[in-house]
Amino acid sequence: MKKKLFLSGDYTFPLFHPLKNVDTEIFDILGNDFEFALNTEHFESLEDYEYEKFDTVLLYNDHWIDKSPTVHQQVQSLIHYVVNGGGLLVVHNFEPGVDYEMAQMLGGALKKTLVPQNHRHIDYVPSGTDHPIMKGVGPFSLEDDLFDIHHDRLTEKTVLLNAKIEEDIEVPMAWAIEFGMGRVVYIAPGHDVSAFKDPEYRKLLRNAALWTAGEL
Amino acid sequence: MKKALLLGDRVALYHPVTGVDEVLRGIYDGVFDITLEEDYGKLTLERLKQYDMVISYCDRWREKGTKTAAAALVSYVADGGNLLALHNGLVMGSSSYELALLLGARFLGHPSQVLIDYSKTDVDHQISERFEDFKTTEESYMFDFDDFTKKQVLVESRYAKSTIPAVWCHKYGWGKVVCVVPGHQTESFHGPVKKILYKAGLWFIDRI
Repeated sequence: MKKKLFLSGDYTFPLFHPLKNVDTEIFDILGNDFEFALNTEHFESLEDYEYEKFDTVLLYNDHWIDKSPTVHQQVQSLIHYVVNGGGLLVVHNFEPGVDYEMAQMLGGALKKTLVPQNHRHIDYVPSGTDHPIMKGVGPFSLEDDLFDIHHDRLTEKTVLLNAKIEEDIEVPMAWAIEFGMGRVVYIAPGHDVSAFKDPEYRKLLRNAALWTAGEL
Repeated sequence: MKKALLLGDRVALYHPVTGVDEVLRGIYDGVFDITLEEDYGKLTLERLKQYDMVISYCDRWREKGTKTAAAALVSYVADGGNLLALHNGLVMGSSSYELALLLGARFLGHPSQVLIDYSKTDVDHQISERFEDFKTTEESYMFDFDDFTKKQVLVESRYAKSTIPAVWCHKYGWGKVVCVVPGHQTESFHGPVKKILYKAGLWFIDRI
């Protein structure tokens, strides 16, 4: 039986990252394993505990804080959902980390996007972890944003993927976290639809979604 | 009357709750009715939700604490509950990073008891209003503080040229957290500490 997934992103007024077109690729990557039980940009309208209907939640929102005043309710709801056994997969947009409780749970927050912004050639390499998400995922390269991330030192995370900045410098760009009884994954690459067409990235995204849903 | 759940151990490694429970009942007399829970590894969210305040004075979390109990505490506070972590109650963050995030600090250890100066910081907060600086022999807890927690440090401790937060508070989700470092034994509960604890209880239930 397919797992239930809640997908949220911005169609109407995206700042930088429209879900349009990206959604088509996500449906294609995850369609065999997941039923898209809800696909909305209005995540802020969710009631308390409504997340519990889903096996995992995939957020691609680049509007977050400006959806106040209900956004803080979503922070509480998402923490409640994950810590009690839910799955959360945040792709590229680090906006949910604006609230500090969410930043802790996600393992960090965005400091800034490094210049040159957009379409910078980045080589991504598996970290070497034996985490199930990385099974069968090889290195890949994308034209994508490079984020300067403020990591939470206390959050225990397993780094999955690094960006190779220089010959001997690698920085974490995807990681997995067991938070309470639940699971969280953050994947930094995914600026636009081209990332979602890369075969290795597609494997990473599928495995991550399955793991957050408790399937790997 | 509000309800409080006190997590502690009568048979303890270092900090028996016996005696301290009576001090706390005296402080919160007429405000909170306190129930002692020693089997805190079996805590559930449903159980915690029955209480307006949870006081952690756990001495054996490393041995008795569980992942489900830690999840229940995080969820309880995120949903609007109130957590007071007192002295050894802060140590549970060293064996559960989720609890360290909730408390805003991971306990690292402490040297032998020393004479410590406690003084109010510049932060204006109902909990530390009219706090009187004092000096006592206590354990100086050391922490790795979380960079992200939006905490307000209300009281600092000073000894051997180091200054360390001794009382801090923050909101987490819809709930509130207060951390109070002094409280090693019944003698630790000097007047200013009692006032801090009392006012923390009132802050939790929006009475100050």
